[in-house]
Amino acid sequence: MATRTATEPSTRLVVDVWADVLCPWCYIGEHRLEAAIAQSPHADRIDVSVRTFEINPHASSAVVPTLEFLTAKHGVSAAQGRAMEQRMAGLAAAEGLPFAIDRPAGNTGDMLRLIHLGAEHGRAWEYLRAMQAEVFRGDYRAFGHATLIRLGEELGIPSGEIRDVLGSDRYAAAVRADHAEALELGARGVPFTVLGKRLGIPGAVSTGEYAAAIEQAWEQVNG
Amino acid sequence: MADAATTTDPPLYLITAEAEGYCDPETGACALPGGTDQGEADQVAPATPTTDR
Repeated sequence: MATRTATEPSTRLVVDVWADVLCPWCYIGEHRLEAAIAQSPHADRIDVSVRTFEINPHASSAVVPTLEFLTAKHGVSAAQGRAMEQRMAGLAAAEGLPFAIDRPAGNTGDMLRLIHLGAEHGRAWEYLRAMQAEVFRGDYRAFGHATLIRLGEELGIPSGEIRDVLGSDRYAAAVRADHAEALELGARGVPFTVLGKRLGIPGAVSTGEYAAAIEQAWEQVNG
Repeated sequence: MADAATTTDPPLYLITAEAEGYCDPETGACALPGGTDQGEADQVAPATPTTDR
């Protein structure tokens, strides 16, 4: 899999993935998509482009336990909320993914803006996945600037640029534009995946279904 | 299997039948696959908290 670079449309396939960091279905779906791309005979000619989709732009900047949100938002008991999360954790475990039920939730605006910075360095996908790894393993420092800077630096993104983004509203317009484009394309949630600007996949599907869609899109674009 | 959906040229086709789950920006919730041994209906899991900054 390649990150988005200058491409020759006749010999490559661009896969646009709209996602938010906290979205468990994005976390699982991206993993399945990665597996599907790895299986593809065209893997080295597939470019994945992360598109941000802020599920809840008005979320509090406070970092709270995910279960706390679940019980408050949906009026379920703590036991019911934990049972729901355990089902989701089971799905993640089947993919070999860490999934802490007692994980943090918060506003993802800064994270999504940094993903746009990551895109300028060709590391948007890796930055998104690194942020999700911190969140879903239950690290409450995942939203902290120190963590976001460290993750970016590990990917070769200059810390000064990360600090500049965190200290400004840089890329906020890009986050809004990505969101608007997804809605225009028919997205009603995330993940939302568009292959070759021809095929759209709302929600997460199985690895096999991602693989089939990749081959179908490849034929349409390059066949 | 697919529904025409957008204004792209050529039109974008949305593959919808197999979607297993997604996170909904309207509710901030994430749909879980429905049905358990106890016959539960579709459930939701949290995406992000919704309190204002």
